[in-house]
Amino acid sequence: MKPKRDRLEIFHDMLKAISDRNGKIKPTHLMYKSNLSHTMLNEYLQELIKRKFIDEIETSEGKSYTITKAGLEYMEKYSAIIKFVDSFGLEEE
Amino acid sequence: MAVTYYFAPSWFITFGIVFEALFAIILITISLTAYRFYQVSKQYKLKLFALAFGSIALYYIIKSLINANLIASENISRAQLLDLGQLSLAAHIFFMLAGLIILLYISLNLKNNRLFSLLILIIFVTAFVSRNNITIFYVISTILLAYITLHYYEIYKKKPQHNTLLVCIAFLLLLLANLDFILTSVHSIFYVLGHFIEFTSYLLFLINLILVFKK
Repeated sequence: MKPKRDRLEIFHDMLKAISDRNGKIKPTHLMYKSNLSHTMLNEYLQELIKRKFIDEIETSEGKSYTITKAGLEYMEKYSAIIKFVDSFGLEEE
Repeated sequence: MAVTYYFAPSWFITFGIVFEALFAIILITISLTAYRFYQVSKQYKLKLFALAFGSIALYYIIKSLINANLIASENISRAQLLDLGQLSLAAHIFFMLAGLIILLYISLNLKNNRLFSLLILIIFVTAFVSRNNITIFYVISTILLAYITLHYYEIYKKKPQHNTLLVCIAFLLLLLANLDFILTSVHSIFYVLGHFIEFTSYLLFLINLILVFKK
């Protein structure tokens, strides 16, 4: 069984899903791509917005999310960050 | 005249400065990396970790600067030397304990700020009020490091990887070094031995940092 994903990994999966769709995604697609429940998705979206990794935009077709420069930088440094956080036990619940 | 300072043998003071400067460089490098990663990820614990390692680095910087000043000042009086020793001791106690308390806060996942402030007060009051404060300081550091090491052992058990093992051993060595420093009042050789154990510990932290950036 695959171990439970931690927060940083979920952030990375969500950002990667947005990045793979040219930096813009609808919530339903994001929910499917990042394998999260509706409640969890909303919780993580709020966290990503708070950390300025994504922007929420309102269009005539509904809400969409775009990845920011900070989000792209997080993706780039993700591998090193996760190793550092793992080795020093700095995961957050 | 041979200067006995911090129970250190006089021949080792210069080596001690080199060791302490080296520890400070390693700690600052880790602290800055943690802060840079905090800026990118906004992971709060990374900021606290940067603060903890930065605080311990400050202790080593102050201690090595004062030691270097002692060697450079040939005309320094015995009273001045003792004053400088007290200043260094106070810096030693404050910055090291502050760093360890922050690490403990991260390790224990404390949510209750009152409990945390009580812990800080008890530790600092005990350390500063005690007459034989250098020994008490090492005893308190050892207790704090025992809890921190236990936390890193649990992390290693949960994630048995090279990097978690390195960090766990590094903290265990720091714990042993502090235990060793308690014995420095018995014989000055323990002061030298403690530095070598600390050196091995910080080397392991550095290797872990290098592995973090290895693709």
